[in-house]
Amino acid sequence: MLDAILGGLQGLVAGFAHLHWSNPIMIAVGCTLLYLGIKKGFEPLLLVPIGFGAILVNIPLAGLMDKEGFLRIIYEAGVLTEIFPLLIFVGIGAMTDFGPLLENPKIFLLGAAGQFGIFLTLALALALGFSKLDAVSIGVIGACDGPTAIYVASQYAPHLLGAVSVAAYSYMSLVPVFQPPIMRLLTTKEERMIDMGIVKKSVSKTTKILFPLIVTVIGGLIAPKGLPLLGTIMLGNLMKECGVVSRLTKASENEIANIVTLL
Amino acid sequence: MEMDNWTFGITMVVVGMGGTLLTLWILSLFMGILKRFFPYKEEEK
Repeated sequence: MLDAILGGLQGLVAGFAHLHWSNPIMIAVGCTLLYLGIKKGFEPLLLVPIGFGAILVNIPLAGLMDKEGFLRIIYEAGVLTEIFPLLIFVGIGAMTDFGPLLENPKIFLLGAAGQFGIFLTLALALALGFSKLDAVSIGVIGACDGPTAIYVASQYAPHLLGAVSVAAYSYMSLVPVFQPPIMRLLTTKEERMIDMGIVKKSVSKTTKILFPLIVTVIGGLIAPKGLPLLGTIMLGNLMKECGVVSRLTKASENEIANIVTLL
Repeated sequence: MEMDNWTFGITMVVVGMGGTLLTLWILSLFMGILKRFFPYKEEEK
């Protein structure tokens, strides 16, 4: 009987006994992300689930990421299959108004700014000795686009998926921390008080409806491998602009986007 | 085709950035054409 009681008591401390030195560090990282998200309000939709997830998976013997753990099931169903990034993009397309872009099509070229970030990060990753496919997956972080980073990493470097996801979303979440001081440094108070005025809406509804179709076809023909992401964001936008599927639009920008963000 | 990291990086930058800028430019042209063929009408407001 004493053995049974001792065995039972051992079970109560087994979690502590199996702690690796990395577990408390990652739990602290998770707590930090939670603090930034809850107390400071930095991208809470991202940091709260990520922070809590980091805590959950670093508690030993819980098995959440084991073969039949619930996080593993969600991971294999949505992340490894690349479905989650695509569903998020449908929601993003449904939430986005491309009117100001269509008002001044030259702004399209500013989209290249994100690509600069990707290729700079790619070059750094190659210089640090990562393999080509690993560097490609790491490079996408430079565009500050979480779903795309997850999508590319799951295709080309699945072993880096966790690190890329955390790096990408942490980086995005820290933008509100780093950008304001830089903006204040590079502008004067008078410049920041300039009233830019309201952009005159001079884009027809037909243009707004044809835009996602044209982008899908042209972009898909030039870069077919990118069509899943491009097509889903344009699908969301088409649903929004056509105005005849408002239920689907509302579901995309609310329920679907929120559920996938959480998962 | 096996290439070293340096060649790979340069190729990616040239083809990637060049392709991106070209694609964005083509799209901006298309949008300009669309705006010309389907101008905004005040009654749409």
